[in-house]
Amino acid sequence: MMKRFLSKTLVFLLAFLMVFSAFGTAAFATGVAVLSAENTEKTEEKQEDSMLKEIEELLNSSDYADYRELYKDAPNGTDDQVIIGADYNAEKTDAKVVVDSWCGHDQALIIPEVGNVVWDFEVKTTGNYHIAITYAPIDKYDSDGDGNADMTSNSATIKRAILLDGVYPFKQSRYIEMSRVWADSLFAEGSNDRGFVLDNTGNEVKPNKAEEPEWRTVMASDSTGYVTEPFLYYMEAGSHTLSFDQVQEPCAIKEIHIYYDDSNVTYDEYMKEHEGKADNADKAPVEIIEAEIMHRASSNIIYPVYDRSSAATLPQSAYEIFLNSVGGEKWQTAGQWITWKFKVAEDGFYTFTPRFLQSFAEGMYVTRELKIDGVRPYNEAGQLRFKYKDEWQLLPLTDGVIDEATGEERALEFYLTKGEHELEMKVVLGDMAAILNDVEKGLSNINECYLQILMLTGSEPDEYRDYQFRRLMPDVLESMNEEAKKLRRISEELVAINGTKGSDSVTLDNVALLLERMSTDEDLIAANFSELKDYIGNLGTWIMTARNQPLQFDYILVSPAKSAKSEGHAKYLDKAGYQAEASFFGALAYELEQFIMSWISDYSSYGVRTAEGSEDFAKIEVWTTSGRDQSTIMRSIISDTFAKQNNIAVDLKLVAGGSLMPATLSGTGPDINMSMASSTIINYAIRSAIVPINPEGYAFEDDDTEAERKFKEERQAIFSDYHEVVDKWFHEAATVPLELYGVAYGLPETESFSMLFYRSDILLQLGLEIPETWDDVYDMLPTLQTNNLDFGYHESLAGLLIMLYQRGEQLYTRPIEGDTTGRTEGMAINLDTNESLETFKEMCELYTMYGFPYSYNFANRFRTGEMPIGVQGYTTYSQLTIFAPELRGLWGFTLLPGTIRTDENGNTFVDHTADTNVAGIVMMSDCVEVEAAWKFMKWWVSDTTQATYGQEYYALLGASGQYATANLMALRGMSWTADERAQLERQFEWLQATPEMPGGYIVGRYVEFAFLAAYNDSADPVESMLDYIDAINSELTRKRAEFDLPTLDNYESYIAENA
Amino acid sequence: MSQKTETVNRPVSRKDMTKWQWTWKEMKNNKTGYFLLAPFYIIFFTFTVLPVILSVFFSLTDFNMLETPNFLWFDNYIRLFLDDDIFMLAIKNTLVFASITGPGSYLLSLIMAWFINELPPKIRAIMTLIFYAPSISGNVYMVWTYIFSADSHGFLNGTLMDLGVISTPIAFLKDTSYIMPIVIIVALWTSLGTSFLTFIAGFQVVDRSLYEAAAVDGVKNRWQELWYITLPYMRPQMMFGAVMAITSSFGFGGIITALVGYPSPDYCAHTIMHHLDDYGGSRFEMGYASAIAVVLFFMMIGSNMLIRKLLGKVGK
Repeated sequence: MMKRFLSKTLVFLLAFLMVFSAFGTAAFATGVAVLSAENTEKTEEKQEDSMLKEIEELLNSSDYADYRELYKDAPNGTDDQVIIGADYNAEKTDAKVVVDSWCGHDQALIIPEVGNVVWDFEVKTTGNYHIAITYAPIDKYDSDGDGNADMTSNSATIKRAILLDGVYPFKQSRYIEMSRVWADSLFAEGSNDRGFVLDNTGNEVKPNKAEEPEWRTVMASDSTGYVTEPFLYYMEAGSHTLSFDQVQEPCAIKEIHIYYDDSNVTYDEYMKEHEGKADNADKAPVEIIEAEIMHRASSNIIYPVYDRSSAATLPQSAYEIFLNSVGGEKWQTAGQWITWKFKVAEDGFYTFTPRFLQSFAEGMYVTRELKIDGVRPYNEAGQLRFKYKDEWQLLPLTDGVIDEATGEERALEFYLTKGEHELEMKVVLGDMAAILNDVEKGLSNINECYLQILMLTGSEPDEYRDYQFRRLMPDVLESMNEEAKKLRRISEELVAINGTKGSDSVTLDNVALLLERMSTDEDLIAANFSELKDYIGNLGTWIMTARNQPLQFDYILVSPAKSAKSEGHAKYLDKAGYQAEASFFGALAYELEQFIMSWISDYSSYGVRTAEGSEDFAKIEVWTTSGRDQSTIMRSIISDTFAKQNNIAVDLKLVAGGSLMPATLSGTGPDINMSMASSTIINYAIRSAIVPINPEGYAFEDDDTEAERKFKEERQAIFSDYHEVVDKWFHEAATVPLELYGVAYGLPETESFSMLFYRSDILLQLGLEIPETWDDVYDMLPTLQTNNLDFGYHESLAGLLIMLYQRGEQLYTRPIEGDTTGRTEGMAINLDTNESLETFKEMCELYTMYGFPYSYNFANRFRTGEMPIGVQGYTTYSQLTIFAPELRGLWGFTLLPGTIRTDENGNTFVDHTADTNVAGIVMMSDCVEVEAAWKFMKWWVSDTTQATYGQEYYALLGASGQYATANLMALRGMSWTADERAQLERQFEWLQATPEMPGGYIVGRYVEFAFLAAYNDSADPVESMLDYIDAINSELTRKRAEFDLPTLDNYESYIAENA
Repeated sequence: MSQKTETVNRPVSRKDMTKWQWTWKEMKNNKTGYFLLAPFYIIFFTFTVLPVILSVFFSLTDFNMLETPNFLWFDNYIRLFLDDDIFMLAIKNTLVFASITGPGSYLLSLIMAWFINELPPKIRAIMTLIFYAPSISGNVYMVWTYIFSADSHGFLNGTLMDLGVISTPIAFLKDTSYIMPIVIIVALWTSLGTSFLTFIAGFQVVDRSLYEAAAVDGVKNRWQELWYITLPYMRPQMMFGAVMAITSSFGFGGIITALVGYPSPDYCAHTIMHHLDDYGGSRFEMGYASAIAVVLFFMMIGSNMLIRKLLGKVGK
């Protein structure tokens, strides 16, 4: 064992040395990177710290499997220690913790999101120990009861990093998850006997979900689910420290239990243990647990849903909507659980028979873990499989062992005592865990090989050149060969598990084949190199889909085991009245009814509780162009909350992109239009098709008639809370593009801006720092480029704006001095000043001189390491987390590289400004129900709605579900880690938006022309930009004249008039 | 009494009536025909003729699509021809584009159809499908964006870099020197559309006996057969094909936009269609856009008349 460890360390060191020596020469040759890195004094302390921390983490990040291997011979711990949460080591703890009562416990340790907590403890015997944490989530903590919460949650999963004696024992210990506890608020006023509130046509409306903090105990285990058993930490006899480092969300800790959990019971042992116990189950009726009526759930996106696909779903109706099931694609991530309460009338043996739908993971099965009253009764209950079928199934829980008597898979029995119990079902990966783990590790190794080759050959290697791979990188070839073997083995395993060779194993086989060819014949490496890149992407996608374990439940039957066994399970349940699917005629009748009802039902008022036509009933029409999935989510959020709370029916229509214009023209447009680009908003607004939504938009004028005055007063009253709304929820830059000369036309929905993404592993290998300024970027380029690596940036206007704003320049000219109305702003383009032209030139030179790639797929190149650093929209974050799971912890994002500036007082500072783009929601001029519409707009952009939408969006669409909400509170509330949130907050201090001006469309166009002239034809950037200045200005002038705004030609008289 | 009989029996003479009276009378006589035609004509008038008339009207205003227009008379046209350099560029581009792709695609369709016509029926059906596929399968021309991608991993760039022809990727679809040739190639590629099918149909309907008769009369080779018999015989199909080729080459905006973006770099592939979109779509100047549309309309009519003249010479 020791020998193995030694050899591993040696290999690691050698690999490191080799890589560095290769780069060492490169760096020496250019002589820039190292020297300048030392010479630049502007590297912030903080920056260095984070980099150092990462280095340390990387060096320490051994995998759990290796860690286990290392200590597998160590004895199981015999000691049993309970650390009381409140007995923390105050000296070493830097988080602002409080000991207070929480959830009925007086001495709970309340831990904020930021900072670490340290406990001292002692174990008496050396061995492997489990760590069980008794915690409670914190939804809102208010120490002094003054109503101002000290800590609030963002509804994300609680995450902590567990350090033993100040170090991470293994990589996975950095992400220990503790789930939150959510419950539906059932039996609110006006609900039916199932506990759901009904709307005006008798539809069940989704209940609100609220956090129900309670004490729970979890074992420290793998958050991805790849390691199925709880972690074992090796501890030597003596005193230790245990620390919880910040990752995400505050929490309360009661105690931490350090012990060895040996509850390892097989089904046979369990049955033997309970043999001969009183079994009166036969006297008990079949109990039905309606799955949609949950007791608790780990996530707020697990909620009752309606199934209209099957007539046999209980309850079902073609006329009303019943929330009759739970789960589906919302219940698919490892670690998500649901609990239900149920009663049995007698002691005895019972079986559980769920009616479930697993039509999601084609040709595969999904896995769940079952617990009763918080305990897994036996090992088999930890791996319950639900096989694929395209319709609902009604099958008892089984471990797959065939019962000889019946020839069917045996139904697992559970001994239950009379009274109430709690049933828990948790998503686990089961057999897939090990496979996924292996593939992911394999993927990161293959990636490493790819990167090594890339650094030698560049992204487009020459097929006919002899690179001498075998001599230069024998270990890379060796490792490719090994990975190929591993993938072959995994593919065989998959076939064994699924019984057939499916598309899953083929993906793996393909990669294996390619690797085999490349590793055996070095001439094939260059030829197949780009193919390898594609295969790496395929492998990542494979992991992503294989991780999901979706499953939908209708109900769970608890039936006496013995009688069902003697009679045959299906027959017994059929007699009790439960079938998997309705009979042919039953289904036909249901489908017919549903078809007829689809002509009659008005889905737009789903959720509204006041009757149509009554005084407090209003109806507005809202248009969205987003997409089918998005509009489905919107519709459900609207009916679940907005319609229910305000009794305003919302007719949400999904329309095609160009339909707003003709509809507005013909007067059949909507009341509200969503997700409109800021430029379009202003275009419509200056042609008075959009209603101003701030009081300033209704300023009185001298020649107002009485009626006009009254109208304006009314509108001012309605929109009086505009500033309050905007100040509360948005960054000040977000409203800039939606305003024109002080009049606001829309509320921001989405706001996007760029940040700097980097691969810390590669930068570390190359000995590079994360660039703080553009000078740092220039300094690192030689090192990057000698290794055939690229820096990703935006070209044309997007790239120009960032650099322009960082120099304190504007895109348009400011108002002329003496203009009191401010309307002379934007009369001309500000790109003809020396500073702007210089900036434009610099932007162009990034591409012409420094060889930045003009066109690239960032996610792909970032993943392969070809582009280890780049400026991208911050939503790339969620794409990368899901798209490249093998990179977890190896990359990050931070402030944009800045420009060094001097302020009025002569102090230098770094300006990190990013340009931000906004899309908004607007009220069209034809809107009649202005008040209801304004309510809707405010509700839609509010933090809770946006956060819910963001979460649902993400849950439904996965990688593509990046919702860039403009609402700051909602954005903070999304599942960022504390570090990531801190980076975002830093960037928030540096945001600037481009105002939308009449004629503004012309700017981007000509800037691109000028850039392309410089890029393609090596034209002088300054010259080519100057060529277009006149064209831009004359278009601006023409457009402004059209709307009677002061122009370059007549502003003097305008100022004189308004003086 | 006798007078009355005379009126009834008097034969209707064309000379006794004005042109309009005559027309009206004929229409009354054939009212069933007009009744049957009505559904189509009403729709055709409302959605095709009326918009044309309307756009002529709007071209005289400053209509901005959302507010009531003001009358400007010929300001739009004056600006269009005297103060719009980009329009002049667009006319040039359109003419270059149309004069290559219009006849190009027409001849291509004709020749392809002729070749395919020579094949045995089963193979002919398959070949027809293959050649017709690009134009029926919607946005399939998007494959060209991958082929000409500016990414160093794009098909063409990647291949050229592999072969060592170039060392840095070329932005084919963003470089003014490549754009026109590329869009013309793609246009020709997608052009084997409806006219191609009509040609194939046209070749099928030629009366076989005519060839025999011609052979007797001294036709010597296949060319003469084509020129003196086949083509004149299928003049209606050729007319249809020509009209289709002209209209599509003038209205060929969408594919250019999909390939090179909108607007094209330095307006190098800016056609009248784009100019129309630019003013109607981005700038909301419907009045001006209508003026452009009217000009385009007359250009198409003009070229149609020209084609008609040319086709009249076929076989002579």
